[in-house]
Amino acid sequence: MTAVALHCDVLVLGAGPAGMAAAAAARESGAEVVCVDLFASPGGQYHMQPPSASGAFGATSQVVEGRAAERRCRELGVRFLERTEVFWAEPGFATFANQAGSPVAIRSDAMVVASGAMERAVPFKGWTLPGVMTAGGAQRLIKASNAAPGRNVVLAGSGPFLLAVANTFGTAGLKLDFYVEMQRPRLSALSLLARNPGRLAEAAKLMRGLRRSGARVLPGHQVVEALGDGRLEAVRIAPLDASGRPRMHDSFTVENIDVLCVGYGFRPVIDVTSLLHAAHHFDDALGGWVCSVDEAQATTVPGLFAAGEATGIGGAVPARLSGRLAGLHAAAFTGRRGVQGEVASLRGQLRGARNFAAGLARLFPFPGHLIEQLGEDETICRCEDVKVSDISAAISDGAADAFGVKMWTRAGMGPCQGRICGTALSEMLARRLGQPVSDTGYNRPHMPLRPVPLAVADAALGLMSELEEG
Amino acid sequence: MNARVTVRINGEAFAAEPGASVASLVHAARRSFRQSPRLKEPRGLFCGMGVCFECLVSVDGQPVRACITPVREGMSVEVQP
Repeated sequence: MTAVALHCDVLVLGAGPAGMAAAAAARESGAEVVCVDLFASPGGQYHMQPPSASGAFGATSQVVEGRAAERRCRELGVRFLERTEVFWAEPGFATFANQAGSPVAIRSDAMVVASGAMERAVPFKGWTLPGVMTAGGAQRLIKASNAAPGRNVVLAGSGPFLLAVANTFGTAGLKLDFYVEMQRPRLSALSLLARNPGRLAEAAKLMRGLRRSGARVLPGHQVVEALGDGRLEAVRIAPLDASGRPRMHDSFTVENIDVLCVGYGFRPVIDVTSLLHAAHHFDDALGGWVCSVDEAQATTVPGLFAAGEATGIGGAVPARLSGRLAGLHAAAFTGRRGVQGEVASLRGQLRGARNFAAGLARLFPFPGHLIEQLGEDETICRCEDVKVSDISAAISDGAADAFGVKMWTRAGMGPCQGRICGTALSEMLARRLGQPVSDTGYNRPHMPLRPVPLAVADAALGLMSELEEG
Repeated sequence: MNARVTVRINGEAFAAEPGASVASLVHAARRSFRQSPRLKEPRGLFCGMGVCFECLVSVDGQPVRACITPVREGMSVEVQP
Protein backbone atom coordinates (compact mmCIF):
# COMPACT_ATOMS: atom_id res chain seq x y z
CA MET A 1 0.00 0.00 0.00
CA THR A 2 1.45 3.39 -1.00
CA ALA A 3 0.59 6.58 0.86
CA VAL A 4 -0.22 9.88 -0.81
CA ALA A 5 2.15 12.61 0.42
CA LEU A 6 0.88 16.19 0.36
CA HIS A 7 2.59 19.47 1.18
CA CYS A 8 0.82 22.71 2.01
CA ASP A 9 1.25 25.92 3.99
CA VAL A 10 -1.90 25.59 6.06
CA LEU A 11 -3.66 22.34 6.91
CA VAL A 12 -7.23 22.82 8.12
CA LEU A 13 -8.85 19.99 10.10
CA GLY A 14 -12.61 20.04 9.67
CA ALA A 15 -14.81 21.47 6.92
CA GLY A 16 -17.63 22.90 9.02
CA PRO A 17 -18.37 26.64 9.29
CA ALA A 18 -15.07 27.34 11.11
CA GLY A 19 -12.92 25.12 8.90
CA MET A 20 -14.26 26.44 5.61
CA ALA A 21 -13.92 30.05 6.82
CA ALA A 22 -10.32 29.35 7.86
CA ALA A 23 -9.50 27.60 4.59
CA ALA A 24 -10.92 30.43 2.47
CA ALA A 25 -9.16 33.15 4.50
CA ALA A 26 -5.79 31.38 4.35
CA ARG A 27 -6.15 30.75 0.63
CA GLU A 28 -7.16 34.40 -0.02
CA SER A 29 -3.96 35.35 1.78
CA GLY A 30 -1.95 33.33 -0.72
CA ALA A 31 -1.37 30.15 1.29
CA GLU A 32 -1.62 26.66 -0.18
CA VAL A 33 -4.45 25.03 1.78
CA VAL A 34 -5.57 21.45 2.33
CA CYS A 35 -8.80 20.89 4.28
CA VAL A 36 -9.66 17.41 5.59
CA ASP A 37 -13.04 16.24 6.82
CA LEU A 38 -14.58 12.98 7.99
CA PHE A 39 -17.75 13.22 5.94
CA ALA A 40 -18.43 12.59 2.26
CA SER A 41 -19.01 16.28 1.56
CA PRO A 42 -17.88 19.50 3.27
CA GLY A 43 -20.24 21.35 5.61
CA GLY A 44 -19.88 19.72 9.01
CA GLN A 45 -23.03 19.28 11.08
CA TYR A 46 -24.30 22.83 10.63
CA HIS A 47 -24.10 22.99 6.83
CA MET A 48 -24.97 19.30 6.35
CA GLN A 49 -26.07 18.69 2.75
CA PRO A 50 -29.24 16.72 1.86
CA PRO A 51 -29.03 13.74 -0.52
CA SER A 52 -31.09 15.65 -3.11
CA ALA A 53 -31.56 19.42 -3.47
CA SER A 54 -35.31 19.03 -4.03
CA GLY A 55 -36.04 17.91 -0.47
CA ALA A 56 -37.40 19.91 2.48
CA PHE A 57 -33.93 21.27 3.35
CA GLY A 58 -32.53 22.03 -0.14
CA ALA A 59 -33.44 25.73 0.10
CA THR A 60 -32.79 26.34 3.83
CA SER A 61 -30.20 28.99 4.65
CA GLN A 62 -27.95 26.47 6.43
CA VAL A 63 -27.75 24.32 3.28
CA VAL A 64 -27.50 27.21 0.81
CA GLU A 65 -24.81 29.02 2.84
CA GLY A 66 -22.87 25.77 3.18
CA ARG A 67 -22.91 25.19 -0.57
CA ALA A 68 -21.76 28.80 -1.14
CA ALA A 69 -18.91 28.43 1.37
CA GLU A 70 -17.78 25.19 -0.27
CA ARG A 71 -17.98 26.72 -3.76
CA ARG A 72 -15.98 29.72 -2.60
CA CYS A 73 -13.27 27.45 -1.17
CA ARG A 74 -13.08 25.39 -4.37
CA GLU A 75 -12.92 28.51 -6.58
CA LEU A 76 -10.06 29.80 -4.42
CA GLY A 77 -8.22 26.50 -4.86
CA VAL A 78 -8.64 24.91 -1.43
CA ARG A 79 -7.94 21.20 -1.75
CA PHE A 80 -10.59 19.20 0.12
CA LEU A 81 -9.91 15.66 1.33
CA GLU A 82 -13.31 14.16 2.14
CA ARG A 83 -13.96 10.95 4.12
CA THR A 84 -10.58 11.53 5.72
CA GLU A 85 -9.80 10.96 9.38
CA VAL A 86 -6.62 12.03 11.14
CA PHE A 87 -5.18 9.27 13.32
CA TRP A 88 -1.88 10.91 14.28
CA ALA A 89 -0.06 14.25 14.10
CA GLU A 90 3.44 15.45 14.95
CA PRO A 91 4.33 19.05 15.81
CA GLY A 92 5.80 21.11 13.09
CA PHE A 93 3.52 19.60 11.35
CA ALA A 94 3.25 16.10 9.98
CA THR A 95 -0.28 14.72 9.91
CA PHE A 96 -1.33 11.17 9.15
CA ALA A 97 -4.79 10.26 7.96
CA ASN A 98 -6.98 7.49 6.63
CA GLN A 99 -8.94 8.51 3.54
CA ALA A 100 -11.65 5.83 3.29
CA GLY A 101 -9.04 3.07 3.46
CA SER A 102 -6.18 4.92 1.71
CA PRO A 103 -3.18 6.29 3.62
CA VAL A 104 -2.42 10.03 3.45
CA ALA A 105 0.51 11.95 4.98
CA ILE A 106 0.50 15.75 5.01
CA ARG A 107 3.36 18.17 5.72
CA SER A 108 2.24 21.70 6.65
CA ASP A 109 3.87 24.78 8.21
CA ALA A 110 0.72 25.76 10.09
CA MET A 111 -2.42 23.97 11.19
CA VAL A 112 -5.92 25.18 11.99
CA VAL A 113 -7.91 22.73 14.10
CA ALA A 114 -11.62 23.25 13.47
CA SER A 115 -12.63 19.82 14.69
CA GLY A 116 -16.03 20.95 15.96
CA ALA A 117 -18.07 19.44 18.73
CA MET A 118 -19.68 16.20 19.78
CA GLU A 119 -22.65 15.45 22.00
CA ARG A 120 -22.10 15.95 25.72
CA ALA A 121 -23.73 12.62 26.46
CA VAL A 122 -25.45 12.00 29.81
CA PRO A 123 -26.08 8.32 30.62
CA PHE A 124 -29.45 7.40 32.14
CA LYS A 125 -31.39 4.25 32.91
CA GLY A 126 -31.84 2.26 29.70
CA TRP A 127 -29.73 4.54 27.47
CA THR A 128 -28.03 1.64 25.67
CA LEU A 129 -31.30 0.28 24.19
CA PRO A 130 -31.44 0.42 20.38
CA GLY A 131 -33.80 3.28 19.54
CA VAL A 132 -32.18 5.67 22.03
CA MET A 133 -29.99 8.08 20.09
CA THR A 134 -28.53 11.54 20.36
CA ALA A 135 -30.54 14.53 19.15
CA GLY A 136 -27.75 15.34 16.70
CA GLY A 137 -27.83 11.80 15.34
CA ALA A 138 -31.56 12.05 14.71
CA GLN A 139 -31.10 15.39 12.96
CA ARG A 140 -28.42 13.88 10.76
CA LEU A 141 -30.76 10.98 9.80
CA ILE A 142 -33.42 13.46 8.70
CA LYS A 143 -31.23 16.02 6.96
CA ALA A 144 -28.45 13.96 5.41
CA SER A 145 -30.32 10.73 4.67
CA ASN A 146 -33.89 11.97 4.23
CA ALA A 147 -34.94 9.30 6.75
CA ALA A 148 -37.49 9.37 9.57
CA PRO A 149 -35.78 8.42 12.86
CA GLY A 150 -38.89 6.61 14.08
CA ARG A 151 -42.70 6.45 14.08
CA ASN A 152 -43.38 7.64 17.63
CA VAL A 153 -40.58 9.86 18.79
CA VAL A 154 -39.71 11.66 22.03
CA LEU A 155 -37.13 14.48 21.94
CA ALA A 156 -35.67 15.20 25.36
CA GLY A 157 -32.83 17.00 27.10
CA SER A 158 -31.97 20.65 27.43
CA GLY A 159 -30.67 23.55 25.40
CA PRO A 160 -31.17 25.58 22.23
CA PHE A 161 -30.04 22.72 20.00
CA LEU A 162 -33.02 20.65 21.16
CA LEU A 163 -35.26 23.35 19.70
CA ALA A 164 -33.27 23.26 16.44
CA VAL A 165 -33.84 19.51 16.20
CA ALA A 166 -37.58 19.94 16.87
CA ASN A 167 -37.56 22.43 14.00
CA THR A 168 -35.82 19.83 11.82
CA PHE A 169 -38.65 17.37 12.52
CA GLY A 170 -41.27 20.04 11.81
CA THR A 171 -39.59 21.23 8.61
CA ALA A 172 -39.34 17.66 7.32
CA GLY A 173 -43.05 17.13 8.02
CA LEU A 174 -42.24 14.56 10.71
CA LYS A 175 -44.31 14.19 13.86
CA LEU A 176 -42.85 14.43 17.38
CA ASP A 177 -44.85 12.92 20.24
CA PHE A 178 -43.18 14.78 23.14
CA TYR A 179 -40.67 17.61 23.54
CA VAL A 180 -39.21 17.32 27.03
CA GLU A 181 -37.01 20.23 28.19
CA MET A 182 -35.53 20.39 31.69
CA GLN A 183 -35.68 24.18 31.86
CA ARG A 184 -38.84 26.24 32.16
CA PRO A 185 -39.30 29.36 30.03
CA ARG A 186 -37.68 32.35 31.75
CA LEU A 187 -37.86 36.09 31.33
CA SER A 188 -34.09 36.21 30.93
CA ALA A 189 -34.57 34.41 27.59
CA LEU A 190 -36.67 37.31 26.33
CA SER A 191 -34.21 39.89 27.58
CA LEU A 192 -31.33 38.05 25.89
CA LEU A 193 -33.22 38.13 22.57
CA ALA A 194 -34.21 41.78 23.14
CA ARG A 195 -30.51 42.62 23.45
CA ASN A 196 -29.78 40.59 20.27
CA PRO A 197 -32.68 41.43 17.94
CA GLY A 198 -30.82 39.85 15.04
CA ARG A 199 -31.39 36.44 16.61
CA LEU A 200 -35.11 36.98 17.24
CA ALA A 201 -36.22 35.83 13.79
CA GLU A 202 -34.15 32.66 14.18
CA ALA A 203 -35.73 31.88 17.55
CA ALA A 204 -39.23 32.50 16.15
CA LYS A 205 -38.52 30.20 13.21
CA LEU A 206 -37.42 27.40 15.56
CA MET A 207 -40.55 27.85 17.70
CA ARG A 208 -42.73 27.58 14.58
CA GLY A 209 -40.90 24.37 13.63
CA LEU A 210 -41.55 22.91 17.09
CA ARG A 211 -45.27 23.74 16.71
CA ARG A 212 -45.35 22.12 13.27
CA SER A 213 -43.91 18.90 14.72
CA GLY A 214 -47.10 18.61 16.81
CA ALA A 215 -45.11 17.73 19.91
CA ARG A 216 -46.67 17.89 23.33
CA VAL A 217 -44.27 20.30 25.06
CA LEU A 218 -43.21 19.47 28.62
CA PRO A 219 -40.95 22.15 30.11
CA GLY A 220 -39.48 21.39 33.54
CA HIS A 221 -39.52 17.64 32.84
CA GLN A 222 -36.95 14.96 32.23
CA VAL A 223 -36.91 11.50 30.65
CA VAL A 224 -35.71 9.34 33.53
CA GLU A 225 -35.80 5.92 31.89
CA ALA A 226 -35.85 4.20 28.53
CA LEU A 227 -37.75 0.90 28.64
CA GLY A 228 -37.95 -2.05 26.27
CA ASP A 229 -36.93 -5.62 25.58
CA GLY A 230 -34.05 -5.54 23.10
CA ARG A 231 -35.22 -2.20 21.70
CA LEU A 232 -36.94 0.93 22.93
CA GLU A 233 -40.68 0.51 23.58
CA ALA A 234 -41.54 3.16 26.17
CA VAL A 235 -40.09 6.10 28.10
CA ARG A 236 -40.63 7.26 31.66
CA ILE A 237 -40.98 11.01 32.17
CA ALA A 238 -40.83 12.89 35.48
CA PRO A 239 -41.50 16.52 36.40
CA LEU A 240 -38.60 18.30 38.11
CA ASP A 241 -38.76 19.96 41.51
CA ALA A 242 -37.43 23.44 42.26
CA SER A 243 -33.89 22.11 42.70
CA GLY A 244 -34.01 20.31 39.33
CA ARG A 245 -34.46 16.80 40.80
CA PRO A 246 -37.10 14.49 39.25
CA ARG A 247 -40.25 13.92 41.34
CA MET A 248 -40.39 10.17 40.77
CA HIS A 249 -43.78 9.67 42.48
CA ASP A 250 -45.28 11.98 39.84
CA SER A 251 -43.52 10.25 36.92
CA PHE A 252 -45.48 8.56 34.16
CA THR A 253 -44.76 6.08 31.35
CA VAL A 254 -45.47 6.78 27.69
CA GLU A 255 -45.93 3.47 25.84
CA ASN A 256 -45.41 2.74 22.17
CA ILE A 257 -42.36 4.98 21.69
CA ASP A 258 -39.81 3.55 19.24
CA VAL A 259 -37.23 6.35 19.21
CA LEU A 260 -35.94 8.62 21.97
CA CYS A 261 -33.60 11.44 20.93
CA VAL A 262 -31.60 12.95 23.78
CA GLY A 263 -29.44 16.06 23.78
CA TYR A 264 -27.81 18.10 26.56
CA GLY A 265 -25.62 20.20 24.30
CA PHE A 266 -22.09 19.68 23.08
CA ARG A 267 -18.47 19.38 24.12
CA PRO A 268 -15.47 20.48 22.06
CA VAL A 269 -13.46 17.89 20.11
CA ILE A 270 -9.91 18.42 21.40
CA ASP A 271 -8.06 15.23 20.55
CA VAL A 272 -5.70 16.73 17.94
CA THR A 273 -4.96 19.91 19.92
CA SER A 274 -4.27 17.89 23.09
CA LEU A 275 -2.20 15.39 21.11
CA LEU A 276 -0.02 18.33 19.98
CA HIS A 277 0.27 19.50 23.64
CA ALA A 278 -1.61 22.78 23.28
CA ALA A 279 -2.91 24.16 26.58
CA HIS A 280 -6.56 23.52 27.41
CA HIS A 281 -8.82 24.77 30.16
CA PHE A 282 -12.11 23.73 31.70
CA ASP A 283 -15.15 25.97 31.23
CA ASP A 284 -18.51 24.37 31.97
CA ALA A 285 -20.45 27.01 29.97
CA LEU A 286 -18.25 26.38 26.90
CA GLY A 287 -18.85 22.61 27.00
CA GLY A 288 -16.12 21.38 29.37
CA TRP A 289 -12.50 21.10 28.23
CA VAL A 290 -11.71 23.64 25.49
CA CYS A 291 -8.57 24.47 23.57
CA SER A 292 -7.12 27.76 24.86
CA VAL A 293 -6.46 30.42 22.21
CA ASP A 294 -5.39 34.07 22.17
CA GLU A 295 -6.92 36.92 20.14
CA ALA A 296 -5.25 35.57 16.99
CA GLN A 297 -6.86 32.11 17.58
CA ALA A 298 -3.30 30.89 18.22
CA THR A 299 -2.88 28.02 20.68
CA THR A 300 0.15 27.76 22.96
CA VAL A 301 1.93 25.73 20.25
CA PRO A 302 3.65 27.84 17.55
CA GLY A 303 1.86 27.50 14.20
CA LEU A 304 -1.10 25.67 15.72
CA PHE A 305 -4.37 27.60 15.57
CA ALA A 306 -7.84 26.53 16.66
CA ALA A 307 -11.28 27.85 15.78
CA GLY A 308 -14.97 27.22 16.24
CA GLU A 309 -16.43 24.77 18.72
CA ALA A 310 -12.99 23.32 19.59
CA THR A 311 -12.33 26.65 21.35
CA GLY A 312 -15.69 26.63 23.15
CA ILE A 313 -19.27 25.80 22.18
CA GLY A 314 -20.94 28.83 20.62
CA GLY A 315 -22.59 27.81 17.35
CA ALA A 316 -22.03 28.73 13.73
CA VAL A 317 -21.61 32.51 14.05
CA PRO A 318 -18.56 32.54 16.33
CA ALA A 319 -17.29 29.51 14.41
CA ARG A 320 -17.23 31.39 11.11
CA LEU A 321 -15.66 34.51 12.66
CA SER A 322 -13.00 32.64 14.63
CA GLY A 323 -12.33 30.45 11.59
CA ARG A 324 -11.65 33.46 9.41
CA LEU A 325 -9.34 34.94 12.07
CA ALA A 326 -7.48 31.64 12.43
CA GLY A 327 -7.06 31.32 8.65
CA LEU A 328 -5.66 34.84 8.30
CA HIS A 329 -3.21 34.41 11.17
CA ALA A 330 -2.17 30.91 10.08
CA ALA A 331 -1.37 32.25 6.60
CA ALA A 332 0.63 35.10 8.15
CA PHE A 333 2.52 32.55 10.29
CA THR A 334 3.67 30.81 7.10
CA GLY A 335 4.96 34.11 5.70
CA ARG A 336 1.98 34.84 3.47
CA ARG A 337 0.40 38.25 3.22
CA GLY A 338 -2.19 37.20 5.79
CA VAL A 339 -3.48 39.63 8.33
CA GLN A 340 -5.10 42.70 6.81
CA GLY A 341 -7.35 45.48 8.04
CA GLU A 342 -10.40 43.33 8.81
CA VAL A 343 -8.94 41.70 11.91
CA ALA A 344 -10.10 44.35 14.42
CA SER A 345 -13.64 44.21 13.04
CA LEU A 346 -13.66 40.38 13.11
CA ARG A 347 -12.52 40.39 16.74
CA GLY A 348 -15.28 42.82 17.69
CA GLN A 349 -17.93 40.70 15.97
CA LEU A 350 -16.52 37.55 17.57
CA ARG A 351 -16.76 39.10 21.06
CA GLY A 352 -20.41 39.97 20.39
CA ALA A 353 -21.21 36.49 19.09
CA ARG A 354 -19.45 34.86 22.06
CA ASN A 355 -21.39 37.07 24.48
CA PHE A 356 -24.69 35.95 22.96
CA ALA A 357 -23.59 32.30 23.16
CA ALA A 358 -22.59 32.79 26.80
CA GLY A 359 -26.03 34.29 27.54
CA LEU A 360 -27.71 31.26 25.94
CA ALA A 361 -25.46 28.88 27.88
CA ARG A 362 -26.53 30.57 31.15
CA LEU A 363 -30.18 29.84 30.28
CA PHE A 364 -29.41 26.15 29.83
CA PRO A 365 -26.72 25.16 32.37
CA PHE A 366 -25.28 21.68 31.84
CA PRO A 367 -27.08 19.29 34.24
CA GLY A 368 -24.02 17.44 35.48
CA HIS A 369 -25.97 16.40 38.59
CA LEU A 370 -28.01 13.93 36.48
CA ILE A 371 -25.14 11.47 36.81
CA GLU A 372 -26.09 11.04 40.49
CA GLN A 373 -29.33 9.36 39.31
CA LEU A 374 -27.47 6.58 37.50
CA GLY A 375 -27.82 3.26 39.37
CA GLU A 376 -24.88 0.94 40.09
CA ASP A 377 -26.04 -1.60 37.50
CA GLU A 378 -26.23 0.90 34.60
CA THR A 379 -23.66 1.00 31.80
CA ILE A 380 -21.49 4.11 31.68
CA CYS A 381 -18.86 3.15 29.05
CA ARG A 382 -20.72 1.71 26.07
CA CYS A 383 -17.60 0.58 24.19
CA GLU A 384 -16.25 -1.66 26.94
CA ASP A 385 -19.50 -2.47 28.81
CA VAL A 386 -18.26 -0.85 32.03
CA LYS A 387 -20.93 -0.38 34.69
CA VAL A 388 -21.24 2.23 37.41
CA SER A 389 -20.44 -0.50 39.97
CA ASP A 390 -17.05 -1.04 38.23
CA ILE A 391 -16.31 2.69 38.56
CA SER A 392 -17.36 2.63 42.22
CA ALA A 393 -14.99 -0.27 42.86
CA ALA A 394 -12.14 1.56 41.12
CA ILE A 395 -12.73 4.69 43.20
CA SER A 396 -12.76 2.61 46.43
CA ASP A 397 -9.45 1.09 45.31
CA GLY A 398 -7.94 4.55 44.89
CA ALA A 399 -8.60 5.71 41.31
CA ALA A 400 -8.73 9.50 41.54
CA ASP A 401 -8.93 10.80 37.97
CA ALA A 402 -10.20 9.87 34.49
CA PHE A 403 -6.91 8.20 33.59
CA GLY A 404 -6.89 6.12 36.78
CA VAL A 405 -10.45 4.93 36.19
CA LYS A 406 -9.51 3.99 32.64
CA MET A 407 -6.55 1.89 33.83
CA TRP A 408 -8.70 0.18 36.46
CA THR A 409 -11.84 -0.50 34.45
CA ARG A 410 -11.17 -0.01 30.68
CA ALA A 411 -13.77 2.82 30.67
CA GLY A 412 -12.64 5.11 27.86
CA MET A 413 -10.33 2.51 26.31
CA GLY A 414 -12.65 1.37 23.51
CA PRO A 415 -12.99 2.59 19.94
CA CYS A 416 -14.56 5.93 20.94
CA GLN A 417 -11.64 6.61 23.31
CA GLY A 418 -13.84 8.03 26.04
CA ARG A 419 -15.47 10.63 23.86
CA ILE A 420 -18.98 9.40 24.78
CA CYS A 421 -18.44 8.47 28.46
CA GLY A 422 -15.80 11.12 29.28
CA THR A 423 -18.18 13.82 30.47
CA ALA A 424 -20.19 11.45 32.65
CA LEU A 425 -17.07 9.82 34.12
CA SER A 426 -15.61 13.18 35.08
CA GLU A 427 -18.89 14.36 36.63
CA MET A 428 -19.20 11.11 38.58
CA LEU A 429 -15.59 11.19 39.80
CA ALA A 430 -15.84 14.83 40.83
CA ARG A 431 -19.03 14.23 42.81
CA ARG A 432 -17.78 11.05 44.51
CA LEU A 433 -14.40 12.59 45.41
CA GLY A 434 -15.78 16.04 46.28
CA GLN A 435 -13.50 17.91 43.92
CA PRO A 436 -14.01 20.21 40.90
CA VAL A 437 -14.74 18.46 37.59
CA SER A 438 -11.59 20.03 36.13
CA ASP A 439 -9.43 18.11 38.66
CA THR A 440 -10.52 14.78 37.17
CA GLY A 441 -8.69 15.60 33.92
CA TYR A 442 -9.52 14.13 30.56
CA ASN A 443 -8.49 11.18 28.47
CA ARG A 444 -5.08 11.80 26.92
CA PRO A 445 -4.99 10.94 23.22
CA HIS A 446 -3.10 7.83 22.16
CA MET A 447 -1.95 6.39 18.86
CA PRO A 448 -4.15 5.94 16.92
CA LEU A 449 -6.68 8.71 17.62
CA ARG A 450 -9.21 6.65 15.64
CA PRO A 451 -9.23 2.98 14.73
CA VAL A 452 -7.29 2.58 11.48
CA PRO A 453 -6.29 -0.51 9.45
CA LEU A 454 -2.67 -1.43 10.28
CA ALA A 455 -1.63 -1.37 6.63
CA VAL A 456 -2.99 2.19 6.26
CA ALA A 457 -1.23 3.39 9.41
CA ASP A 458 2.01 1.68 8.40
CA ALA A 459 2.02 3.20 4.90
CA ALA A 460 1.15 6.73 6.10
CA LEU A 461 3.61 6.73 9.02
CA GLY A 462 6.27 5.31 6.71
CA LEU A 463 6.45 8.75 5.10
CA MET A 464 7.26 10.52 8.39
CA SER A 465 11.01 10.98 7.79
CA GLU A 466 10.41 12.06 4.20
CA LEU A 467 7.90 14.69 5.37
CA GLU A 468 10.24 16.00 8.07
CA GLU A 469 13.00 16.56 5.49
CA GLY A 470 10.53 18.09 3.16
CA MET B 1 -37.42 11.15 -6.50
CA ASN B 2 -33.93 10.08 -7.51
CA ALA B 3 -33.15 6.64 -8.87
CA ARG B 4 -32.82 4.15 -6.02
CA VAL B 5 -29.83 1.97 -5.34
CA THR B 6 -30.08 -1.58 -4.03
CA VAL B 7 -28.19 -2.60 -0.91
CA ARG B 8 -28.18 -6.03 0.75
CA ILE B 9 -28.35 -6.29 4.54
CA ASN B 10 -27.52 -9.84 5.69
CA GLY B 11 -28.55 -10.98 2.19
CA GLU B 12 -31.91 -9.20 2.09
CA ALA B 13 -32.34 -6.51 -0.58
CA PHE B 14 -33.32 -2.95 0.38
CA ALA B 15 -33.89 0.11 -1.83
CA ALA B 16 -32.12 3.28 -0.72
CA GLU B 17 -31.84 6.88 -1.79
CA PRO B 18 -28.40 7.70 -3.28
CA GLY B 19 -26.36 9.72 -0.77
CA ALA B 20 -28.18 8.29 2.25
CA SER B 21 -26.08 6.61 4.94
CA VAL B 22 -25.90 2.87 5.46
CA ALA B 23 -26.95 3.64 9.04
CA SER B 24 -30.27 5.15 7.94
CA LEU B 25 -31.07 1.90 6.14
CA VAL B 26 -30.03 -0.49 8.93
CA HIS B 27 -31.78 1.67 11.56
CA ALA B 28 -35.05 1.55 9.58
CA ALA B 29 -34.74 -2.16 8.81
CA ARG B 30 -33.81 -3.57 12.22
CA ARG B 31 -32.73 -0.95 14.85
CA SER B 32 -30.02 -3.22 16.24
CA PHE B 33 -26.55 -2.86 14.69
CA ARG B 34 -24.33 -5.05 16.81
CA GLN B 35 -23.80 -6.75 20.15
CA SER B 36 -21.79 -5.10 22.90
CA PRO B 37 -18.43 -6.80 23.47
CA ARG B 38 -18.81 -8.27 26.96
CA LEU B 39 -22.51 -8.27 27.88
CA LYS B 40 -23.66 -9.13 24.33
CA GLU B 41 -26.44 -6.55 24.55
CA PRO B 42 -28.05 -5.29 21.35
CA ARG B 43 -26.85 -1.79 20.41
CA GLY B 44 -28.32 0.65 17.93
CA LEU B 45 -27.39 3.86 16.19
CA PHE B 46 -26.37 6.31 18.92
CA CYS B 47 -24.31 9.38 18.03
CA GLY B 48 -25.00 9.11 14.30
CA MET B 49 -21.97 11.22 13.38
CA GLY B 50 -18.89 9.06 13.56
CA VAL B 51 -17.97 9.44 17.25
CA CYS B 52 -19.29 6.44 19.17
CA PHE B 53 -18.71 3.38 16.91
CA GLU B 54 -21.99 1.76 18.00
CA CYS B 55 -23.05 1.44 14.34
CA LEU B 56 -20.04 -0.65 13.33
CA VAL B 57 -21.05 -3.01 10.50
CA SER B 58 -19.23 -4.91 7.79
CA VAL B 59 -19.53 -3.47 4.28
CA ASP B 60 -18.15 -5.69 1.53
CA GLY B 61 -15.98 -7.35 4.18
CA GLN B 62 -14.58 -4.18 5.73
CA PRO B 63 -15.55 -2.87 9.20
CA VAL B 64 -17.03 0.64 8.86
CA ARG B 65 -19.16 3.07 10.81
CA ALA B 66 -22.50 2.86 9.02
CA CYS B 67 -23.36 6.49 9.91
CA ILE B 68 -20.51 7.96 7.84
CA THR B 69 -20.73 5.48 4.97
CA PRO B 70 -22.98 6.42 2.03
CA VAL B 71 -24.92 3.64 0.29
CA ARG B 72 -23.62 2.37 -3.03
CA GLU B 73 -25.31 0.17 -5.67
CA GLY B 74 -24.64 -3.50 -5.00
CA MET B 75 -23.19 -2.92 -1.52
CA SER B 76 -23.32 -5.90 0.82
CA VAL B 77 -23.82 -5.06 4.51
CA GLU B 78 -23.37 -7.65 7.26
CA VAL B 79 -24.86 -6.86 10.67
CA GLN B 80 -24.36 -8.99 13.81
CA PRO B 81 -27.56 -11.02 14.41
